[in-house]
Amino acid sequence: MPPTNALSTALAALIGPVLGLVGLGCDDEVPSFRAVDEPEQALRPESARGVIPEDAHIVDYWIDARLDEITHEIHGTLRMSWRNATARTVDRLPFHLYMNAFRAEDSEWMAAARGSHRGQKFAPGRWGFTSVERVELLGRTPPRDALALEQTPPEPGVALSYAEDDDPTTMTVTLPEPVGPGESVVLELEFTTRLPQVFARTGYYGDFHMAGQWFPKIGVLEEAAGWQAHTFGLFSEFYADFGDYEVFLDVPADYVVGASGVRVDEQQPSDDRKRLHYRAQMVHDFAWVADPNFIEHWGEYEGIRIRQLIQPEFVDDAVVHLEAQAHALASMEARFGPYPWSTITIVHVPKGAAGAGGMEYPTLYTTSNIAKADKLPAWLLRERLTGVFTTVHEFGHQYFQGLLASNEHAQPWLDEGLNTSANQLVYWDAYGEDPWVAQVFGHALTTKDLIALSLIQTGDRDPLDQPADRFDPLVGSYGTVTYQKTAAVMLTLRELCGREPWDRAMTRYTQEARFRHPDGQLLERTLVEEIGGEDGRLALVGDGGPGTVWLDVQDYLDLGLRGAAIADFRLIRVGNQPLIGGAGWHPRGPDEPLPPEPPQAVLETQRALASLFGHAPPIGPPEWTLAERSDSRDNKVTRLGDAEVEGFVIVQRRSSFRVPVEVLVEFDDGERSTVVWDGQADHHRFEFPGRRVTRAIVDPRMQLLIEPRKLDNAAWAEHHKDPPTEPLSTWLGDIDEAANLAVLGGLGI
Amino acid sequence: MDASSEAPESAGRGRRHTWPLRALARVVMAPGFVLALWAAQLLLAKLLAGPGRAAAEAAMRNFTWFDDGHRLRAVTELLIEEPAVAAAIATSLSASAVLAAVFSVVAAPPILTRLDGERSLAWIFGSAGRELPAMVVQSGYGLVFRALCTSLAAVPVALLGAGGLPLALLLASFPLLVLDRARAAVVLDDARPLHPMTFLRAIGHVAKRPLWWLSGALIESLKLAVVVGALALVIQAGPSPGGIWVARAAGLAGLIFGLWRVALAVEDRRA
Ligand SMILES: [Zn+2]
Repeated sequence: MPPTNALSTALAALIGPVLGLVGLGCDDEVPSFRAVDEPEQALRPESARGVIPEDAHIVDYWIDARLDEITHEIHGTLRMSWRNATARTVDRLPFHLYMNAFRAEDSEWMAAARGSHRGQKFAPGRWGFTSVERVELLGRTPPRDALALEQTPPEPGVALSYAEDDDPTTMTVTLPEPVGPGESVVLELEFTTRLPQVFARTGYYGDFHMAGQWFPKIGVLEEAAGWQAHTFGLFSEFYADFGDYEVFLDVPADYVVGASGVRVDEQQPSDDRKRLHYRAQMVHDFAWVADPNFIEHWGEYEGIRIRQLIQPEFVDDAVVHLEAQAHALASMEARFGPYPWSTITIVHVPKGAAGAGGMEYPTLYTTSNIAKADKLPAWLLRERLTGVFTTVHEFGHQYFQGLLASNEHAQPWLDEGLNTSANQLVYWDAYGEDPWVAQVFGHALTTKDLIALSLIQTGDRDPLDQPADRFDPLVGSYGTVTYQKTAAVMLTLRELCGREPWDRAMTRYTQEARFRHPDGQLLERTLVEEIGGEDGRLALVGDGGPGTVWLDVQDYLDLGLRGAAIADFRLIRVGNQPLIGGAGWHPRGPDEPLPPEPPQAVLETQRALASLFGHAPPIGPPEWTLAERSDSRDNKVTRLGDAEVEGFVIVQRRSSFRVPVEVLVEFDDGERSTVVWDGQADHHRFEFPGRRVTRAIVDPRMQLLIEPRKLDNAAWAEHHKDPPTEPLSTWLGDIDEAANLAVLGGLGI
Repeated sequence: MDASSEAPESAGRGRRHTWPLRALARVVMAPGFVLALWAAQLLLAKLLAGPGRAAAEAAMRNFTWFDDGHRLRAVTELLIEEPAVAAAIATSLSASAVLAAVFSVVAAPPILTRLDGERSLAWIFGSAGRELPAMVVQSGYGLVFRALCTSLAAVPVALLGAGGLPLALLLASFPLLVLDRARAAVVLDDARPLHPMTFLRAIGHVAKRPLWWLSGALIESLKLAVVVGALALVIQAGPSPGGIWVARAAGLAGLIFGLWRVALAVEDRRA
């Protein structure tokens, strides 16, 4: 799903009207591009994609579907072979009927959405649904060669009873006999899906038809927890088993069609209809799109066919999306292993169907349009966020969901959140460390900045490791917490540990979780082991002795994943005080020689003087010596020499999020030094005897992405001789004054 | 009504070439007046921006921003966390707009009088009071006409895009020149102060003088470009000690351009 990036939306809203004003037209000539051949196989060769575990293959589908482009209905016959790979015995099969979310106002999905989703309004009366007309059992544990789903069965199947559950987005099929471990069943279903007008991800808009979550799909049987087929809610979509799809689509002859997998055949039985055959392998879903207005744009990346289906008015953007796609592939293959499939299809939705933009399906995703910022002068605005980020993000889901098929309902952060983390790294890998995503008047907004600005607003309202339906849509934290906060927690850990251990952990996790249903525990365990080593903690400073600053990885993850708080540090004080002096009485050391006894006359005088002023004479026990206080002690700290002061920096932890943090301290002599606090206590004082502190900066390298508020992170020392003016408020004041001068514009003459 | 405004443009071609420059000379010949206006403008802007500046300073407490590469993020954080800053800035801008509008009405007679060569301060400033009702009424007509022209100006931009911009500027400047003319007719030539015909005649008058129209539009566009450009520069430059003086200098330039445009209406009477 698309990140709810308020900034990107704001940017688009800002640029849109400006460009509308300068009237960017496009000529009517429809360009065409040289096609890249469709690969023969849906999977890349094993040498490129690696080995796919045999036991990951659970379910196969054969679907014959016809699109009625007038009523926007899909009539289909579906045969499915499902294997019980657990030690459980089941007597019922749950199916998702996702499209029923859009059937009525009282479905759980619509009740949560209340008629709007990501700024899109539901078109009144344009309901969508899936109705199942027939369910039959065709066979039980058939011999392997009889598994050919495309063959019409020799004898009719046994009708099965089925009923929708409380929420219409799932139904349960009752089996006449239970299915035991290792056994399989072959079912045939007949269904009709009516697409809603595009509102959220799927549906039609004019001739455009986006068929996502359009067929009855079986749930996942887990060894420990049994059947998992969640009610379709606002914030989660996927959880399904891997398998192969053979899909036949009967569509109008002039429609351009894109689908998961590869196209293996195309026939035209009549003048006005065509029949397309698609094959997708080792995927957990199948989606397709059809629109007569699509222009096809082609590209290739190491044998992967990249096909874009793009609306004529945005055809010039195809190269930008292709470049973003290539950046994403380069970064993610290097970090998370090879992309296993041979195709990628990128769909650009038409104007008016924006609700379908920014959605992921196996080997096919929809993106969003670029806001044409390149038509504005570069000194005013440059950006690589609109459209580009969506492409990077939706492709990222090919890994974090498509390949690592976690339960999005139970742990949405493993899907959207890890993907968002990976998206940032795509930018880093492509453009350098923490690069800008937008420049306004030449001032950069970087990947870290975007996360921070999102976290500031709703980042502390929810913990991120919780099921999708635990997020209250009215609290409004799902997007920030699931996407940005996960990225902040993950990338902060990466920065703290020195990046390489985190990278290693993620490589290991993605290797182990390919074609699996990984959960958060696996990821946490991997991070703790790779970063924390045997005892789960990493020494950030020191070698284990006193003064060592530890990063306890599990403790960090517990706070980051299961606490609502985000980190927040503040400088309480930065200053200098007189160094502890040596004046006063001290016992003489054993080797210290006795000072010469002063003459008696001197002693008498001292006694007399002391009694005159009413205090004790400077005479003490014989083993003690008295050191005099130096004159400079009486001076103000500003007048003391640097060697006579002790600089101090006090940092406060203002939230319950305990995390180690760097503090950069600048001294009067121009030197700078970085110290680290473990962040465990409520506050901490760093002391610098004999050195005068001039400035301190908490988290100077912005390693803590999980700490979005940084205005209180730096301060000049108290009583600084000549503190520079505060640049931010000066700048804002200057802008205000310049804007006033502009409005006054020659005093309005 | 007034003979001079109806005077045919009998001047030779050579004279007409230098006509806008003679108008500029009227401005240059009144340096004290220009500088006084500039000082008033600087003072006003400084005062109006005071609360915003103070709010931003207070919001930063004793902290200081430390990373130039993340300035935009910091400003955004400040504006999100301290809404009073944005509120103060927005308020100052609307106050500026109101003051500019009021000034434009009240100061028109003194400006016209001074550009016409009058040196008596009492007479110059007295004109503001004497002509106030007329200025309010004529400016009211001007506002209606301006709304009409501004919506017309949107058409070429919508049709031609950036290419339509010159035509749009020409259309958008026209009502300003007409108002200059109407005010000049009232203040300098005793035209009927409240009558709509005074304004309607001014429309025809300027429309028949392409040189005025063209140069006026050019001057007004330059004025806009200079003040808006300076604002953009201040934003782009980031915190810099001398940055605000760019905007202040641009304010002076804008002021001179504005007076130059008004001087066209004064000079026209001599043409
Ligand atoms: Zn997503």
